[in-house]
Amino acid sequence: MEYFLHVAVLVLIYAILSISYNLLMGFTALFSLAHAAMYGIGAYASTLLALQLGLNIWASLVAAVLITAASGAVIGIPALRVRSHYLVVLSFGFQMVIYSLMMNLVSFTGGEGGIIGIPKISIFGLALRAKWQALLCIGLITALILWIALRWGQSPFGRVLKAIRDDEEATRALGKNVVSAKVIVFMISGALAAVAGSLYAHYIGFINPFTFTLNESVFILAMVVFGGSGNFYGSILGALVLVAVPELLRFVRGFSEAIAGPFRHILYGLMLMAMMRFRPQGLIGEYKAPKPVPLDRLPSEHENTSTADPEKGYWTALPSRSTAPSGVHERKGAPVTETFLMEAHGLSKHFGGILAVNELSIGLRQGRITGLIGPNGAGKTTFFNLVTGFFPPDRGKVLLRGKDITALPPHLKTRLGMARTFQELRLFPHMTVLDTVLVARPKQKGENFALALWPFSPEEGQNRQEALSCLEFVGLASKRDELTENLSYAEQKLLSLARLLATGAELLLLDEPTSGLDPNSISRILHLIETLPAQGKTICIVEHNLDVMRHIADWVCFLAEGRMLAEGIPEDIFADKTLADIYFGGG
Amino acid sequence: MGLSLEQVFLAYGNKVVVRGISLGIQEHEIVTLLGHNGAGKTTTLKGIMGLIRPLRGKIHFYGEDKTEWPAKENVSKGISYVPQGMGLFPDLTVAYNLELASYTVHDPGEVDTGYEEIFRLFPILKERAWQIAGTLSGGQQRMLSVAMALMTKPKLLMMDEPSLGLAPLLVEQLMETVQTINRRMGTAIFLVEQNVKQALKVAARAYIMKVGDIILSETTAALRDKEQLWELF
Amino acid sequence: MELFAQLATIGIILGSLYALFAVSWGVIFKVTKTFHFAHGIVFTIGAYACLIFTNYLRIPLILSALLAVAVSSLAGVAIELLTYRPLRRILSTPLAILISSLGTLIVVENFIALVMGSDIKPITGFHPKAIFVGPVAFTSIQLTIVIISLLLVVGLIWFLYRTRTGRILQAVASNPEMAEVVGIDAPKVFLLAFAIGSALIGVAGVLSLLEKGANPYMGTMAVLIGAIAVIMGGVESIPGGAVSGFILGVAINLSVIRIPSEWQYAIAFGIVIVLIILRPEGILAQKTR
Repeated sequence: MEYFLHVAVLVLIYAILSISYNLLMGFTALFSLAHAAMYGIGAYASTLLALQLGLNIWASLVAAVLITAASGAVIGIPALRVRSHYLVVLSFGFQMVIYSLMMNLVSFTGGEGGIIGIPKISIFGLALRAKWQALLCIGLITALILWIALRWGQSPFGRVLKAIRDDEEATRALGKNVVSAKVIVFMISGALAAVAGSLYAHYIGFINPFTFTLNESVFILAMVVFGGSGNFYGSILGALVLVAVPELLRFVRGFSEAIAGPFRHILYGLMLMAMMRFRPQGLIGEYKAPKPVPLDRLPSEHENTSTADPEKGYWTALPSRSTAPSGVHERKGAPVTETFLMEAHGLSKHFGGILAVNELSIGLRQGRITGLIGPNGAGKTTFFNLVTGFFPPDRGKVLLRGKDITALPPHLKTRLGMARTFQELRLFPHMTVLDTVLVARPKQKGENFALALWPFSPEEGQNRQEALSCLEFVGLASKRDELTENLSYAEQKLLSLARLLATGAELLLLDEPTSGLDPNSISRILHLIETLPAQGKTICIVEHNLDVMRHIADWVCFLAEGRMLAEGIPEDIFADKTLADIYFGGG
Repeated sequence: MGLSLEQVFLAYGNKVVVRGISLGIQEHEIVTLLGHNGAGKTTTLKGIMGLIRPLRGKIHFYGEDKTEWPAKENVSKGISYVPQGMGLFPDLTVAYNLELASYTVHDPGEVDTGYEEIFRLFPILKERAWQIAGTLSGGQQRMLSVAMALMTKPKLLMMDEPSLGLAPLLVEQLMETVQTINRRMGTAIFLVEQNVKQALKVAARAYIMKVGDIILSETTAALRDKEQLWELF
Repeated sequence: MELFAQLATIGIILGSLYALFAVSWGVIFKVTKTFHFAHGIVFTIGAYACLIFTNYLRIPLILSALLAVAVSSLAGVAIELLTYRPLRRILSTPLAILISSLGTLIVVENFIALVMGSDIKPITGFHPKAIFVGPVAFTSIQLTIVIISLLLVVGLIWFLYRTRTGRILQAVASNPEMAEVVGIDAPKVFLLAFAIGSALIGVAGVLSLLEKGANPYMGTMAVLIGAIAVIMGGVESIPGGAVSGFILGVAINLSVIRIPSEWQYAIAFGIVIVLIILRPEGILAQKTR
């Protein structure tokens, strides 16, 4: 009986480790091999504080948590500078260094022999000597940690982590501070591992370095993979199966430790491989396996696919501006007294030896749709990248409502009311349609990991409403629980627009919103974009399909070789022979 | 005889980019494919080259059904492709780039005459044979890409926006070279271009694509007279 | 001074081996872009194959060694065909491929532990001679390690730059789409990269067996050191990886002059971490154009 209680305690401690690692690797896709080191730092810190300073277990646990969280930052901050598979190597190095410290700082850690005589867990001075007491106490703590993790998982904080996992740059472009999120998740993951370490030390009564090896990190990884990344119940299942089953194997005759050890590891390894091959989302899994993606409906063999009519201009399907339904804004002539929402002055940018943008000055008028056209290499997408802060300009400045925002990092520019879409979409494939739009909502208090724990949040409800109305606007409300990667391309483009609108930004930069779409979808998305100025938005749109410009732009800026050569109403620009010569090449 | 596409559909993942196009190129012809960015021009070339498998439709080359051919097969049967941008191996020398380009040519005699032709067209490549390709100027890199495609003495040469990023003078020279290749080597050329004026100067016929469809097929003579090119884009 | 010379010598021996680790892993990573964790187990397979051929099948050592290298090469190719290729086909994420690779390593090393035992096994009937050059002492096998490792490293570099096949490997590494466009069959080239890299690490495994004996878990360190050296040297550069590996080996040993030996690895990893942070593109890499 005692034995089963002991196994149960171990399962709980590993559940904590598994949950904390899931937060790091499952939610945020940060593949670290150093979790056992975190576990060990927590164990040794708590032990030393209890033994050397006589702190009671709870004080030393808290202190150990803080120390380990700081260590989490030590890996987290450098990890920001390097690409993802370097994190593997970096974390491995960290794990080995910590292990080495445990083995060699003999005066502190006791070296190979470790430390014995660690005081039992006690509450208000009463030591919990019986296993069932320890089980109860540790069980309650584990339940608390599970609750915390579930809160984080369902909160805006968890959403941001998942978005970072799917596409870090897109997350930054939505106004989220990706850097701080990653460092924080390293720290809280380490902090929870320290809780496990502290509990382990005081429960068992002695520790040595061999509990906190690289193998242990892999063991914890196996638990998370088994149960499913992103799913905390799965992590508990993983801990249960991977800890309990080998213990039961002990009872099978013929299974000496020399055989059981390697045998267990063979099973883990096979399990890792099988999971990745057949069920990457784990046993319970956070999301369903992706179905084969539906293509846009292809016309049957006999349908006439061509809607071309060169005499009238390509589309006969799109209404001309004069017959546009009411509610669509009227195109104005050359404005003189309108205000500029955004101005770029003298932007220049070199890439290698090439001057991509050369003293470019463009103004975007409030409430208007401004189009950017120009031949390839004219600098249109570079312009977007510069004003949104993707790259810093070599020279020049960007003003938003008259304020200089040039030096601000991208996520702060978004928060001031300027957001963009990407030509390559950059959606979040493993998130649902609704979550993709929800994560774009600004000023979510729940994105702070501490505030996320507060269970009562009216703002979440409000944000859901806003997100749903963005989806309704583009006609995707019925697909709210669908995974983004299962949508058709046209639906994904509409989702990209919905996500942009959810940021609440006043200035919307649209990068080729109609590219890759069939004529019907183009119509649909243009109708939507046309209604936006009436809702108070200012739009800048880059497009190569000139029909789109003709139909939708109030004002067109013609760019070539990094400069603006002309601007005006579309009719004037398209009637200009000199510009035509430049656009169609070499005079 | 030549190349023909019948109702070809091409997609990237779930994005259908080319929606049922049909076109043909006769031997020794120069034909150009025009259209706005994102219309599907590059995808069309990749589909012909076997880098993307057509979803539907057929492609024939000199009578053979080549719809399922991978790139390897296309190269050995006489189709070459100069991709947009960096169509070479930047970390290797000019000489090794040309050597790799003749990967499918097994007859050393053929390879030698290949080099002769190339160096006659582009003497500068011979001068800089031992320079690392990535350190060449933009124009020289473009020349190398074209030279590489010619090493297999193709019947059909496909070029994706060869004028991109080049100064106007170099573009003129490039177009002259295209004509020389067509004249001297008899190669049919399928030219995707953004620089409409230059393309219309060298091509006999033009196709115009828009949003995945071919909306116009004309002789360039007729097109040059058209007042408003803007309308077609 | 004598201590310095001795430590430098051991450093050169270790450094040569590390250089071999680096180029063997690096050629696979550069050409196929796969983070081949399981490279460590190919190392171990090389060692154990030679052990089995020599100790149990009584095959003469040289022949055993060659056979073991062949077995390693096949093992690497098998891993590519059975583990990586199916995952690429289902468009797995790099993380999933990494985890699978780790899984492969764990399964095979523990299988070896099950069958052969976890203890260190030396090769029987092999008695290396001690060699004395001035104040410095080393064994014939250690000398062999230096000579063979350096020959193989130089040989690989020569192969990559000076032979047609080597240039084909470089082409696939440099611009995979263009390689397809000129008619190169990239999947076959991947197999070749695995065959070559695995053969090289197989040699390293045999050499390690001869110097220190074999144990089932010897591969993890080998692959991690190889990967670290490649990253330090700039992933685009095979010679960079070799030089980094060599410097790492020498530095770790020379550091014993000032640092107690049990701290060596900790310090080495600490330094590597700092270097990666300061210069993520690699110490010897040129800034990208």
